[in-house]
Amino acid sequence: MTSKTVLIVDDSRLSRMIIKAMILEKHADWEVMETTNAEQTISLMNTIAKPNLITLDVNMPGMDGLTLAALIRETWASVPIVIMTANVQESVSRKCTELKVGFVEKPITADAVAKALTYME
Amino acid sequence: MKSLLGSTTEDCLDDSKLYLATLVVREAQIGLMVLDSGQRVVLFNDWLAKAVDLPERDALGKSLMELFPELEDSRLQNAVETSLQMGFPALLSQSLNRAPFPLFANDEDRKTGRRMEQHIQVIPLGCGDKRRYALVQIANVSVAVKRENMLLEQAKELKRNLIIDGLTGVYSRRYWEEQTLIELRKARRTCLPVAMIMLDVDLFKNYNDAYGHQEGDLCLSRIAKAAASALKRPRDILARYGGEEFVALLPETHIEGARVVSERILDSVEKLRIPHAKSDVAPYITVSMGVSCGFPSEGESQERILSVADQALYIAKSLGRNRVVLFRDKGFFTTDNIQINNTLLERK
Amino acid sequence: MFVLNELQQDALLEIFNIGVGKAAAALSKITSEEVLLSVPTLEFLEWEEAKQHLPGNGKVICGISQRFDGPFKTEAVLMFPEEKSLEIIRYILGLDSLLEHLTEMEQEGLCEIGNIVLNACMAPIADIFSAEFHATMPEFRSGTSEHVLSVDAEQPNRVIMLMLVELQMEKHEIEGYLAFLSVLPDIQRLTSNVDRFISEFTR
Repeated sequence: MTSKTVLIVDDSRLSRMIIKAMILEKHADWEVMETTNAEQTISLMNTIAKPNLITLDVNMPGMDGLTLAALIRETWASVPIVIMTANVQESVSRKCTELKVGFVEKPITADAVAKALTYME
Repeated sequence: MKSLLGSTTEDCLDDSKLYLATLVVREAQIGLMVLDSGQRVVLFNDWLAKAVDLPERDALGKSLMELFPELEDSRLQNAVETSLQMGFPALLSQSLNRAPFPLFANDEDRKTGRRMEQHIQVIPLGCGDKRRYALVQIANVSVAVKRENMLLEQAKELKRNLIIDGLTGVYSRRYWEEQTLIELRKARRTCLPVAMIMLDVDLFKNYNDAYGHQEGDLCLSRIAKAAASALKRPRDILARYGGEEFVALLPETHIEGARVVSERILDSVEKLRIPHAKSDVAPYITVSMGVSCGFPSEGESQERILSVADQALYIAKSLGRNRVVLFRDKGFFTTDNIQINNTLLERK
Repeated sequence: MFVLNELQQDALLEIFNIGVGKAAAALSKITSEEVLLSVPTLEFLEWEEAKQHLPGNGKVICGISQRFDGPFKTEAVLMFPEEKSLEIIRYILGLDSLLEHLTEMEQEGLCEIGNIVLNACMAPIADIFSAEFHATMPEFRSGTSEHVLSVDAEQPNRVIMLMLVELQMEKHEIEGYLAFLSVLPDIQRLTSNVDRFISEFTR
């Protein structure tokens, strides 16, 4: 299997640490990038090649993850995105379906991360 | 002093305390049921046995769903599960759940199917390594619910009294004032006119003197109903202004529309043919009306529209009553388009 | 002043975030309306200072509170401005607004809503700590936020941990809060549990 790039967008350092650790445990050769808000994410995607998967937190300072997902979709229509959130309201999962992005429920467990990776092409 | 049942759960209960505890549970005037971790009944007190009409021995060992199949997937079942699994207590209010359990205060209620109103608490018992139970405590709150419904009824009645005139059944002056403010605000935005009709019963004092106040009240009530039925649109309202005076508010109405409505009112009151021997206008009850119309969007106030209607009413009475006078194009007119000037008034 | 390190603070917020997400889902289900959540804030303050940070602008608010005691001890409160509490419960019950104040039964109804929301919030937190919380029955309070969130008055100088999340229900223009308050000795119990949580995940 070729090496993949995953971008983790989450304002919580701990969440990023956990997701990253769980990905690298199974796929030591993958590259994992991290951003903490919408601006960083867009500028990273504009300058560096697009990742094979983006994981997005919903509840972040500034732009929320769902709005960011829609914004990414405008420029990068096909990049796989998965929303990782504890906000399990029906309205959130409905928006995920509308935006054609994956939905994984927090807390972040090995199972949750494994499920998130299934959204990769 | 040490508590009767021991100060902590670690304290052993001696036989006499255990006996007493058993008695308390049995005699308590509240429903008590204990479920084990498999949701099977291990305690079912007398109060509950009576309310469900099921002796404790028949309830013991049965699961909650066996005893009360209607509770499948209910909030109560959910609360019991939360209690047993997480150890969190739960409250089920009467307002959100009414009466989950088939509990009846007496045989008659049982026959008619009227359940006790219930306030339920689900309390986890034992925690940590100890086996967990859930205590379901049910209080009958029927009396409190009844009291509250009475209070709500009274509030409804009170509100109705503020809106409706008690004597005639048409709207109250207070409600008319409120609605006028709302309609004028709307009219300022929509730039549409608002019309008002002031109505006075002709020679009503004579009627009261001749027939008595009781007949007078009855007469007013009949006039009010007839006049109100002449208003056709839902936002038109007729209110009692005071004494034998009434006022109609007609939103989004030009003077021509208001004229049609006022003639309809005149007609419907006349058709009642309420005998009035002391009237020099007609042998039956008649009314006089003043009609005005204004554009709040051009700065015309409620006071201005109403005072013009009042002047028109005064002129209608001066012209011999039983008629409508309206204000348009800066002058007062009869319904058959005769402009009223001072000489006409003086001649009368 | 007592301060958590960045990682501990992060972990704590993340743990509460998961609870708050479940709480919002529970509230959304009861009210059939989407509940928007703010990013939670976490502060360590003395009570006198904390008072300045409480929402409500001195207006009367209604709060439903439960105390939870387990890996840490906290007072969890769901609160709304008084007039919005009336609106929520009467909307759910389909009642006209005839009375200016909550009736006893409406108050009970709000208590139950608070109970559902707060239990939903604390259940995943208990799961994360693999521990159990002992919880009290929900209690209804109304008054200023200072009164609704009152801590042990005998020790006003104790440092408290205040976590706040704003809830918004757009259709009814309702703004409410979820607040969690803990006093200092319990915060230490909390941080040792948070450290255990961090070490488990970042072996």
